[in-house]
Amino acid sequence: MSDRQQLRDYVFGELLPLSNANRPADDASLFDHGLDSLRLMQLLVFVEEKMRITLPDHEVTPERVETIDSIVGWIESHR
Amino acid sequence: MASLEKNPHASIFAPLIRAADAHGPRQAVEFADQTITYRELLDRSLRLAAALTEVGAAPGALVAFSFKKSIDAIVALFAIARTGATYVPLDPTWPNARLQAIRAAAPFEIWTGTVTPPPELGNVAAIFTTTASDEATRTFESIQKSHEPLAIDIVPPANDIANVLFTSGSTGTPKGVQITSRSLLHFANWGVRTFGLTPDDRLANHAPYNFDLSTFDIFAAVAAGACMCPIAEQLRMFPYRLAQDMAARGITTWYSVPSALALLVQRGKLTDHDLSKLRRVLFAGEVMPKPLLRDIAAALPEADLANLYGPTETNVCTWHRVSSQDIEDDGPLPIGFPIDSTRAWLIPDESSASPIADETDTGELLIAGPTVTTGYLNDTSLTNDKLIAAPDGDGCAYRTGDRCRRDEDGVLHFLGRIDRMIKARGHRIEPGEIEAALEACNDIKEVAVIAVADETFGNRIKACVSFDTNAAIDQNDRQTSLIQFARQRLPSYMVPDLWEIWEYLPRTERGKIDYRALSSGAPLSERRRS
Repeated sequence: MSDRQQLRDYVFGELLPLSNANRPADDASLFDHGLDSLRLMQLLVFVEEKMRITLPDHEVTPERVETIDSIVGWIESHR
Repeated sequence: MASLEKNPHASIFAPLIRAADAHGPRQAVEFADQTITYRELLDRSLRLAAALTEVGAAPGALVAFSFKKSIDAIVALFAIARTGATYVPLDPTWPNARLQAIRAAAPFEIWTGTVTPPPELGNVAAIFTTTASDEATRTFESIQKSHEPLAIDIVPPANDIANVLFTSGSTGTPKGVQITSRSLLHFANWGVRTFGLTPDDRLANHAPYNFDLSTFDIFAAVAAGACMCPIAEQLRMFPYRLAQDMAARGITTWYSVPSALALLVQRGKLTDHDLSKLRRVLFAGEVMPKPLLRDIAAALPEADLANLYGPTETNVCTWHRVSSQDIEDDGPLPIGFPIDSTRAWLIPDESSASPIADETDTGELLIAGPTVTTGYLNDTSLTNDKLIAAPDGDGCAYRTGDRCRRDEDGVLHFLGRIDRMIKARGHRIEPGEIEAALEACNDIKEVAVIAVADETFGNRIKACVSFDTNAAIDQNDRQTSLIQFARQRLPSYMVPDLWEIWEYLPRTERGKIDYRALSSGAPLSERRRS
């Protein structure tokens, strides 16, 4: 499974559950779909534990975590 | 100024007059790249007060206060206080259904906020915002030009009610806790004395305005002539950036819920930042886990740590200064001793007679003193249930609903709730309010909400539901539909994190939902269907 697919499945299946018809595009802001501090930390733990990528804390910025596109780009920079 | 000396607890506006007099050119608020001095804060709030007075802000009036963190929010707060009206903080992220329920309980006709009220709230007579402007709405900026400052004066609010804080209510409707000027000023002055705040201090303002924690940062800062630094909402999500920001602003005093400190310590990489100016770290709102306390003490060895305790109804009523012994041993952190002029009793859990004079070493905590609420807005029956005659005959005492123990040294320890209330991320949550919101969904047959312990966030919320056999809801998409349904009715911290779908919920012999069986879950798992 691609990083993108794995991430989408987790984000819209578990973290911010949305039915298929309501899932936003990969460039839509996750902040508008309920991403808050607790859920952001869960997302980071998922990426680190399930996708086995270490993301440095100082890189956790709004620009990097705002959309599926930006998170995928961030993850790829650490592959 | 004579009225000020005669009755220092008459209005929360009084400390601003004093601060502008004694510390006029000093910074009162610093936010993003803007600052405002005490003299400017007084001037701007008096101009806005002039505009508010024109539309009826006066003792007895309620004014909605719906702000993102900003300097304008502080200007509006003191402007409302100058008119003698009562402010009602509303979180800008709350869903419309909750705002409607609050307006029904607190019928405000004046709105101040970052943006205009949602149309679903109906017609609001007067609207002041920091951003939007149309024919019906006036911006703060235009008022600074169009209005002269109102005279400096103290106008006490009706029945001393400075603000009304809405918290979760067990029957499904939020309840409005009336907070007095006396309570806010007593708490602020106690804080200044106890923690030795001076005009050189810089207080972070982390908690949202609808949260009683935020009143410390605001009013203790003004009482000390210190600077308050509101923290932008989005920064709260990014611990590394937040720590960077705290270092750059030279924050000396921090007060938040433990879960906010957990993010900061675990994800803020504090060794990258110079936080040597941070001398006081205060926390309240939920139980501080010992492992987290040790992490905080290790990351911030120079800072004094203190555990503050108190339901919204009592503001802060007891406190405990963290010792090196606390950090070493494994027992839970005490809630300590009552603050100045505050009395605490323990009463038998099952007793409901008032007054109750017999004291025991374990029981429900009863609190009397200057910070205790005078009751719930427009709800006499709930007020009479929670406020009883103080055992010493001096006024009313509040039944906290918290089971506590008093040890041989007289130190109080929190043991748990005597009812179902949940604390999560510092918010108090009545499972009944979530259940009532979900029961409005036609497809749901039964629903029960319970807490699940979480290492970082104290508690997470789990909803257990069963569906009608002929439920129209899409079989494959039930959880998603429920979350969307909940989001339209509840603030995000009350939307359950975990969902479990049951064929039917377990019941006790008497036919009541068996919450114990739901929490243990496992023995009934074969009945589950997901």
